[in-house]
Amino acid sequence: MKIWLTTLFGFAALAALAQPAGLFEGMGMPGTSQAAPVQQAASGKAAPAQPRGLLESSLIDKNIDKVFDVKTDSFDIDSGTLTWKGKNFNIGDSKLVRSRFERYLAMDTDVKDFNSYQAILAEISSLLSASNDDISDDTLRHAWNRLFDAAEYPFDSDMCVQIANCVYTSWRMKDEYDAAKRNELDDILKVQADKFYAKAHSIYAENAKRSNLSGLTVKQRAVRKNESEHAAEIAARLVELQESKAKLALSTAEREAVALKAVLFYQSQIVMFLTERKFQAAQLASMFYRHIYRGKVQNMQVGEKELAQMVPLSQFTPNIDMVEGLANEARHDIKNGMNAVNSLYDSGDRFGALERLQETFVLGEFDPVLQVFDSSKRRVLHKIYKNVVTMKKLSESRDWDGIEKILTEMQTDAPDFPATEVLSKVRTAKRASDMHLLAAKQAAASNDTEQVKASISEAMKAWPLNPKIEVLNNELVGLSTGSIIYERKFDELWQRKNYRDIAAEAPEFGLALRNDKERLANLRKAVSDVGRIDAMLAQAKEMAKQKNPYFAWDILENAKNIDAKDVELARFQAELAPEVSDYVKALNDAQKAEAAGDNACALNFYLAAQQIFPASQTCRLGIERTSLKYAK
Amino acid sequence: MKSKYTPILIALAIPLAAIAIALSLVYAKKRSVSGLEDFSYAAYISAPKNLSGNTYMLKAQPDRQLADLGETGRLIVVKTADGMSRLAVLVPRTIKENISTNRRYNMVVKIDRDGRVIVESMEKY
Repeated sequence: MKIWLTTLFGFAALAALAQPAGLFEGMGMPGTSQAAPVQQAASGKAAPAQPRGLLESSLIDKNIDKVFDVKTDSFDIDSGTLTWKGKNFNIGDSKLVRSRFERYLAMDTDVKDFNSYQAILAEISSLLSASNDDISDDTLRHAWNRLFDAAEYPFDSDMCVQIANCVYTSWRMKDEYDAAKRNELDDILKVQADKFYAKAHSIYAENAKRSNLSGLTVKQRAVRKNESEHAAEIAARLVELQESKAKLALSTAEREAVALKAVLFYQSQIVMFLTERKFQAAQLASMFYRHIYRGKVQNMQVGEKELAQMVPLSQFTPNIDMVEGLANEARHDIKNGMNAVNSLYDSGDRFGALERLQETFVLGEFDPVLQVFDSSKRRVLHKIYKNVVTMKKLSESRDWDGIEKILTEMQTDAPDFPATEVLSKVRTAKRASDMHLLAAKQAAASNDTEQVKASISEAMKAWPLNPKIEVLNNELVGLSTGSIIYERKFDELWQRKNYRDIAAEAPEFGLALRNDKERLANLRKAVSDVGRIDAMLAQAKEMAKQKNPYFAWDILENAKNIDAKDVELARFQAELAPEVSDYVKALNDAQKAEAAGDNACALNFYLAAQQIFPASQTCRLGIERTSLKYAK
Repeated sequence: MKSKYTPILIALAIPLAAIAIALSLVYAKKRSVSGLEDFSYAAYISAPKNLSGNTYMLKAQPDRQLADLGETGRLIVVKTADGMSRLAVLVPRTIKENISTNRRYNMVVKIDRDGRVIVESMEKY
């Protein structure tokens, strides 16, 4: 983008009028100053080497910003400003620009009549070109009529109709000007006539006085010299003269106003075309203007100050030729932009093509060259654009898996898209999240609840949709829930003295009760007792196998002292009892008698049992106990 | 006239008479020592307290001493006459007899209300 950018994109409103302007046939006109609203000129910014990225906000992560960033010097969609080589150009609300660009990409245009349309415009340009300095009214009218022909094509978007209206308005205002001019001339004549009459009456009055004073004495002359005749008539004439002059001034002002109005209207329209980036319209309108208005009216009276600021030349005088030149330059750049888009697309750099198209769009949104961009290419670029926009949104919500899926798609559609950089960022974020989860697991193992919360929180910040977070949560919840369940279960089993079931789930109970000293001690006791009983059971079974059922029974009797209600113990005793029934009976009698305090009977029962199984430890111990209490 | 069955009858009657005489002698002897019934271990062990208050004649051989209960006496285990059973009996201090494990004794025992077998007298035989 060249000088026209530096000159064009500084203004957005009307400026003060500076010079008196000629109009229509170049007749001189008194100039008027008119204050106009002035908007700030663009602050100069350093122009970027290359415009970048697409249309998103600053919420995304910095690395992905590099890929998607549009907050550059050339393109600040967020503020609706196109800053091009230091000049600001207001292109409207960012969302509207975005939606217009999307709409443009999604449009399907029939371009088969574009050449016909271009031919008409070429004809108009040719008729109005600067080389045709003096064209006839008929030629001008023919060119004006062709505007309506061009307006029938959809590419024109009624631009030619707007130009035609401007031209027509100028012609209509010319009639008004002529009428005002005629009135002015009439008033001039009136003034001259009134002057003549006033002068004539004055001369007559003087002559009459001189005639009256002749033949009088000096004394008589002195008396009559101050008498004035025809004074009233003269005064009346003078008043009439003043009125005529005032009316003339008014007529002159009206004429000037009509002239100024016409010029300002047309120039405003041209300026508006420029500010709205309708460069083709600005170009054609300038051409018509040059032939309708002559002389000093060629100088710009609208936006003059801003134009002067844009072009930093001393004694710079912006005129219609300069504006036309700016429009031409813009159109040239737009055409070059579209050539670059097509070239990049055809060479496979579709993401690059999309970027260039975006830049060209904000500049030449209303230029017909953009309208005829190949629909099939537009569809492909639209798809790429939507993918990029989606990736931006996913990056805001940190959906890395989603971004990876889209990147895979993008590899086919836009091989030149910087996927590697994005993928690197995505993978780093995922890894960071996993590391935080690992830290959370370690903290959970050491029961550091606060650290668990902090680590999970960090993991979620890095990757909120990490599936491992849910898994870990379930594990932790399960752990928490499981602990409560196991505590209750332990209490129930302990209350029922079901130590064997406690020992069967010792690892789970151990994990659940690791922080409960009391329950842990009970768990240890239960596990220990069951272990001892099992050892004795094993011994007893071995004895039984070796045909020592009484020995086995004795061992079982010892095991009963640990836990009389043990299920396995009871089961084996039931199996063994038939083989040692006599011994069991004697022993039972002895134990019952001892329990009832009948020590003498108990002693004899133990002796009887011992008679059956002399090696019985139970009997021996029973005899010893009851012996000492025999006399009690 | 002599019957041909008379010798047979005499032959049968003689052994029968001998048996009767033997049995009566045994019974007499049994009752003659002290007039006491012999202690039945089986009856005792099946329900010791059923015999409480009874006095019996126990023929037994001391097996071992279980405990010296001081003034109450000595608690010993005796083998019954058939040697099949062991019984704990209390020998009070009033009985001055030395107790030897290789001698047999006739013991007059009384079953008290708690089923204890208490020796009232004992003599070797």
